[in-house]
Amino acid sequence: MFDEISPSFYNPKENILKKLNPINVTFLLFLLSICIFLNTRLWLQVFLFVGSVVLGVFCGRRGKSFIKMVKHTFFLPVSLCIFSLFSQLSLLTIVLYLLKMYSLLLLSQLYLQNMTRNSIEKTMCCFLKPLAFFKIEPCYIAKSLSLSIQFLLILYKEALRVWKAMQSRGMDFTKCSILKRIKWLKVFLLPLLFKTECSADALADSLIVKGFEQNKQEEIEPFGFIDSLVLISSLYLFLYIIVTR
Amino acid sequence: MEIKVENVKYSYRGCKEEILKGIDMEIEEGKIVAIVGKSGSGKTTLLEMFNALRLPKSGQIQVGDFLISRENKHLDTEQLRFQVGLLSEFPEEQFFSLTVKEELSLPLRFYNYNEQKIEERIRNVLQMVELDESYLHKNPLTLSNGEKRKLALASILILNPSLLLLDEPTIGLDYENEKSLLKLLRLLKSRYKKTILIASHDTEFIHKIVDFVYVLKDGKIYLKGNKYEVFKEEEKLKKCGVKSPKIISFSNRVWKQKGIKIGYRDEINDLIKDIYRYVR
Amino acid sequence: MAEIQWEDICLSYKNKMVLHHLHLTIEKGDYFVLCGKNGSGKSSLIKTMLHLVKYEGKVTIFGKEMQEENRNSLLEDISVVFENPNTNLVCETVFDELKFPLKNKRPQKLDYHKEIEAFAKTLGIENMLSLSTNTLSGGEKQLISFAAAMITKPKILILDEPFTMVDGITKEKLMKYIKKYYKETKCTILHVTHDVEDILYGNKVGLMQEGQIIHSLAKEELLLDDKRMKQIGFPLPFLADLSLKLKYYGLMDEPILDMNKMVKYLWK
Repeated sequence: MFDEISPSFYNPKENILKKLNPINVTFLLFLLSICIFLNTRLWLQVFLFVGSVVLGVFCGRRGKSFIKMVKHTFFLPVSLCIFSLFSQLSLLTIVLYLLKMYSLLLLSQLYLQNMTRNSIEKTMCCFLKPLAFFKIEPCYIAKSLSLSIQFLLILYKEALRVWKAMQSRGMDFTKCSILKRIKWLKVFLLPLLFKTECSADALADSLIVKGFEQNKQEEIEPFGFIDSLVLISSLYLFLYIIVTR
Repeated sequence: MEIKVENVKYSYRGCKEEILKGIDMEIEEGKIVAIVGKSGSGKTTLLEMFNALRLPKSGQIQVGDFLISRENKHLDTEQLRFQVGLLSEFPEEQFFSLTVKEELSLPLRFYNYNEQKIEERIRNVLQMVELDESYLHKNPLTLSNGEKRKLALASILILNPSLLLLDEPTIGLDYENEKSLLKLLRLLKSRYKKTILIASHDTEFIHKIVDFVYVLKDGKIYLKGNKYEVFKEEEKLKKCGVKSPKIISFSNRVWKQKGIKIGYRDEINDLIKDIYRYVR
Repeated sequence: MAEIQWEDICLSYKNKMVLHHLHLTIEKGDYFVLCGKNGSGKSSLIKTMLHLVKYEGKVTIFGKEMQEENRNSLLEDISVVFENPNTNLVCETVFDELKFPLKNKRPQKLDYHKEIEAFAKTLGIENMLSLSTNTLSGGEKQLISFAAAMITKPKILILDEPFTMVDGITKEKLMKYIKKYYKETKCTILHVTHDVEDILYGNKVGLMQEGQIIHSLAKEELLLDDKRMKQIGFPLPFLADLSLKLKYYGLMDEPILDMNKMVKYLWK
């Protein structure tokens, strides 16, 4: 399952959300997530849930993993429905609660699938600008975040290599007890730690020789017409929910 | 021990396009065989199927008494990995112990071998890779590159496999370390009768040691044969993203430009004798 | 005038001497190939030059001493391609990767888009500009690393064992770009390697052993005999070795380093 929930920077397929300004996308998703927590109206929750599923399906090839993920966790609502038959809570309450949780799950998928390293970097640089007053460079934090996301992928591939190497040496962790796995965990973790240190060093060297410390100005792309439209409508929706909750 | 690959096909999860589109191979016991191809052609994937790290989408691989295929649910992978050892790319990145002794004894401790047997095996395997007993208490990370590669090979040989799989064994090694690896592989073939399968794009190294070569292109075996038959096809190899060894390339040039067949050699001294004969 | 000069460099790492009273000079316009075994200190030499480690001694680049304070201004005209293609790339897309060093080192330029597209056309990578760097193969990643190094038109180009993880055909392709760049710009190139065949690309060669430069001479002089290469435990490059042995048999006078020319000469 972990294989399928892969961040969008690994597979940047063109979709609607990617055509928007990255700062707009972040802001929009941020608003949506607040909506999920704030609102209590059923119709709005259903709208949000269905809306996020539709958006997910539009998210290119990875739309399939949305549906697969929903299938995997389907046993949870079924068991809770059975639970409701024997408990005090009404089925409707349980379903509403589930819809809220699922929306969050799908929302996190949306974030992962559409937040590229670039958009995270640009957004962080933009939002963290006030830190410059305290002599903290926002571009340093933004670049570190962006590189750690790249590094996650390197680490994942590295972990897979170590796993396979251990299996080749006869130590198949998938076939032994949990206690044994915990006991032998260092076999798996130590090479990863060493590799992390070396890679972090190498990445830092690459940044220095490419002149990272010199130019700290981050460009903010201008908002297009569709960006403004999406931003205004989402702000309106947000205010409506705040006022009518 | 019979080693056969029959119509193996493979595609990565979530990918429609197959990376291996029907591979057929037959490997003779006690020989050194190479799988050659450019990066991304599926060499590592194919190699990983020999010890069941990956299972073919269709087709099967026979390694002795073990049948590796998706349909065979009763495959004992633990026993298979005692017979088949895989040395992955940059194996020194998988070291985790503070001493060489701990590093080597780990898989045997995993299977609860007794101490005496572990010590005996360690002594034997260090002799095999030509590292003496003074290495036992050294930290693996302080060893030189060549010694690290030998230690990694020793950690695979400790389970006494009869089929060895080497994925890019010469990557990052300089001339001297390559020479000692070559000597070690020749020893493993002649004295210890191991069958060795090498996946690499370093044709210079492969030419010095291999008996049979398979060339991968677009998921299929494009060329196969003994090393001279394969490496002389310079143009075809270039299409596969592979360079011929220079010593073979030289003989090819002489044939193309002057129409003289001076023979394909392994060593430069033999080539010089040929040149001398044909120039005079 | 010496472009890069190392004077009495000492570097130790975990109580082990890596560089030992090292002296080396590289002149402007040289293609200097530094050859040595694994562990002889080649990569550490690069790190001292770029002031990425603490060392004793003096490094002079473009006539100025390399110090922490002026490192950034000196790095404006230096580009490096490291060994591992995975950690060479720091941005998400190929376009950003080419823009990053350009923006940092040449901030006065206004139109980066045009320049990057024109440069990509000369290398034939204009179709790759929108691709994510994570989807590229190892050879393609190294190609983009090279492109990112050359786009700022540096005066010094450093190659730290760049072909270790790259196959032979890709290496040939990459070397074509480097040779073209060297011819056009007459920059200084420092190519660190443990593969003897790379010696044929340069015009000057340095041999390194146990943290010291034991020989630094012109390529033609080095290839006249194999004494010096044997000293560091290496053979001569194939064609140079063949030429030397054929000379011993009286079939050749001077080394010929091109295969076609050699065949023509032998069977005149």
